[in-house]
Amino acid sequence: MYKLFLCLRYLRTRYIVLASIISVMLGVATMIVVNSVMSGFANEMQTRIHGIMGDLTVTSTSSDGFYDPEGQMQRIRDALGDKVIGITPICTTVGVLTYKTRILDIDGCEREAQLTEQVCIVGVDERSKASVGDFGKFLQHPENRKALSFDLRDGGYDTFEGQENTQSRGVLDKIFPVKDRKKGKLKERTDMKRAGWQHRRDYYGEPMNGVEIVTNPELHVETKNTSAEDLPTMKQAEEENAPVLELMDDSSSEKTLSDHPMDNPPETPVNPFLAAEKKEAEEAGETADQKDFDLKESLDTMNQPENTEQAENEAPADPDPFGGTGDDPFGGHEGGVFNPLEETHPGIIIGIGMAMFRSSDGTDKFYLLPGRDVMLTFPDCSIRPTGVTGHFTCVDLYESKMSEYDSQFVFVSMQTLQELRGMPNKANQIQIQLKPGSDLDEACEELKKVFDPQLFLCKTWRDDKMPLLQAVDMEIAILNVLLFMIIAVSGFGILAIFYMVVTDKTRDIGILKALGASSWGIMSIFLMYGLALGIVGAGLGMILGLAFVLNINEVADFLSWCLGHEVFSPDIYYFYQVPYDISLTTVGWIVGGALFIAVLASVFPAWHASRLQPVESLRYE
Amino acid sequence: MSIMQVHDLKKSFTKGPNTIPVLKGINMEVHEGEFLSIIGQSGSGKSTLLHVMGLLTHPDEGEILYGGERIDNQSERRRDYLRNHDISMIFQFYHLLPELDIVENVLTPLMISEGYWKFRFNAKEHRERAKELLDRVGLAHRLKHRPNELSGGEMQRTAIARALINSPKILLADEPTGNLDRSTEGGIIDLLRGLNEKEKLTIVLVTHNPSIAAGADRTVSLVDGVIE
Repeated sequence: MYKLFLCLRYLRTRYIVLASIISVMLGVATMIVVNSVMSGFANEMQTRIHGIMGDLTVTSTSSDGFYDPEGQMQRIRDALGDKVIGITPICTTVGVLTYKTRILDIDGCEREAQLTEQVCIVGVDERSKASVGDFGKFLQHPENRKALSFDLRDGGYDTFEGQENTQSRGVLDKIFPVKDRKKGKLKERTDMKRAGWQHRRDYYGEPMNGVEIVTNPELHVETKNTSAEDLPTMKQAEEENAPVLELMDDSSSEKTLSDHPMDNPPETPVNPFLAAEKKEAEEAGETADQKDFDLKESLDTMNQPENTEQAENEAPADPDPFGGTGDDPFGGHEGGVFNPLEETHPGIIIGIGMAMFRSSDGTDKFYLLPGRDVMLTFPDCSIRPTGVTGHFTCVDLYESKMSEYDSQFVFVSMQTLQELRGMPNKANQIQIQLKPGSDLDEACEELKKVFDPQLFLCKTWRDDKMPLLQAVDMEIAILNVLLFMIIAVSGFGILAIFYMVVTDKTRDIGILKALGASSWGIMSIFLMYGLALGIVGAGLGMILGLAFVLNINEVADFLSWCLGHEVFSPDIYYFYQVPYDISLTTVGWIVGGALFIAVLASVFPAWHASRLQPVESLRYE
Repeated sequence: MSIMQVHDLKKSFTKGPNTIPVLKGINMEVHEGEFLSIIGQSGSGKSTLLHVMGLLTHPDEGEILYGGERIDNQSERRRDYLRNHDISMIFQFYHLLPELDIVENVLTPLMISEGYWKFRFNAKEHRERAKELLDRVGLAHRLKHRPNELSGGEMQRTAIARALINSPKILLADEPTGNLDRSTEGGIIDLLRGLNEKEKLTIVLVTHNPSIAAGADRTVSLVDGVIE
């Protein structure tokens, strides 16, 4: 009885032990915070990788793929039986994505630029893709998330990114499910409001806001001229355009000097340079029209596809060079003129990393929106692969939040890709979704028996990203070891402080022994003391750590406010919120470890106390 | 009838290379119910003798019999039990636990002898008994005080109450009045005297003060480690 009684009494009256309580507390809190955030990141990443890959993949070793995907899928179903809950064929190839966008130049003019990106093209089967992984979840249109379609939608794309709803909070999600998470720092993607047909009409129809777009001749390249044999023409065009640019520049400097923007209020709230440029462009256009046929032609080229008024009046059916023309075999139009305001090319879903960038204040700037046309160039399936070009219309954006994927992947309909590549009834990969809880490695081994390893690679989603996942696991493990050292250090703190307490309590120990307390009793006072200290320290640490994790975003905001700059910058981490995943097992281990250390650290002082001879401690005062 | 016998007890302390013999063959007998005082000068070994008798330390040679049973070579467990139940001690410096109040201090031997649940179960009775004892030593009004709020005499009275709580057979008092002024001293001695007479408690009191020793039934003097 006295053991518990005294150890509690000592805990209450010895304030020095507060120091060791605090050190245990801080150690435990740090470990909980770091573990939760680290596994939050790791989880987010794994969820995304898993969501993209499905559970298992059977991939052709040749980039030309394998024949009869339906037959192969049947073989998989036969091999795995009813474990398969989803299966879909995939066509993949590498390629180049080319598109035009308007960029705000440093002089304040919007110019048209051509951008080229290296991409990984994925042909997906609309009907079965949804059965494997989370592909649909990452799309921006709610209808596409429900049922994938490569048709352009009228509008209604998400204006807030959807990651809030996918972000895991670990056990908390089970205890307090939150249906509609607060948007927090999320900035609205105002550009996305117009995405869809509206954007398409705006972009390929009237110039936006009546502001005229000046095409920078140096950046402007006609799509028809992208093939190698037309390169000289391109150069020629540049040469032709060069004097025009000079002329424009000259007149622009004059005009800017004479026309003060205040004298001529612009029709639209644009900057004075833009207004001036626009005026000049109109004037230049008129003069060119009257005086110089060559000049007019080059201006036309410059201003397309967003023509000036004049150009539109003159040539309403002017084939949009970018939109693809009738003679383009891949444009999806057999003859006739392609009208971008009415028609679309086959749909393409583009990784959001290629379509936007996140500015440092967290707003997203888009240079490509659903509704715009893009061009894909990729090798065909012949023995000597040559480049094939196809026109596509962006119908949605893909945002998995794995920047590696978001900045590389474009998705098109598998059928379109098969046709363009000349590989009908061929696929590169089969993605398989198994019943939850199935043993993936076992299933993978079964597939390896069925498929010839020379022709097919069977992998689980983990195999594919093994180095990354292992690296993250290793990182977490090492971090845990290092952080546990903190608790070990606090253990030494306990040891030192306890030793002091024992020295301080020598007389009391002697008294207790004189009153009949056993050595074990004395020892257990101090062991219990250590345990009590561990319980209090670890308990407070757990509360502190959990409170910290649960409010980590508020803490990050507060730190940002204190430091004056963003500590968790959305443009670096791609998350608006710090992800976290509280695992009760981990918390349990941390708290248990802290208790163990606290007791271990008190063993030596306790043993020392129990060895004290009562007489020694009582003789002198 | 003797309650405790000491036979040829020897004890020496080692300080570096020198061995200092403190007890050089003590033979002594304590009778049941008597008030025995051992008188001796400082350094004569009287405290050491009492510590050996109170099982706080081991003798080098010789033996101690308690009720006919040799106790000096018993197991730790048995010695702990005897210290707790049969042989109580009070000290010159009272040796109360500073973190506990008076009642809790008095209850300490009970807490040691009883497990958590048993003590909890009997807590009320125990407290009553502690209060009764404190009342007997004249501290009924001080129950909630801590030792450092008491005077020397009050602390010693508390220590006596604590020594009595487990109804010991023998009380060993190691200069209980060594730190007290004369009037307080008288009070403590009277208290011990009363306990001896009313409760038939065997008391062995060690002192260097002949006037205190004079109050005892019997006095032996210890000179230079030997009973004279």
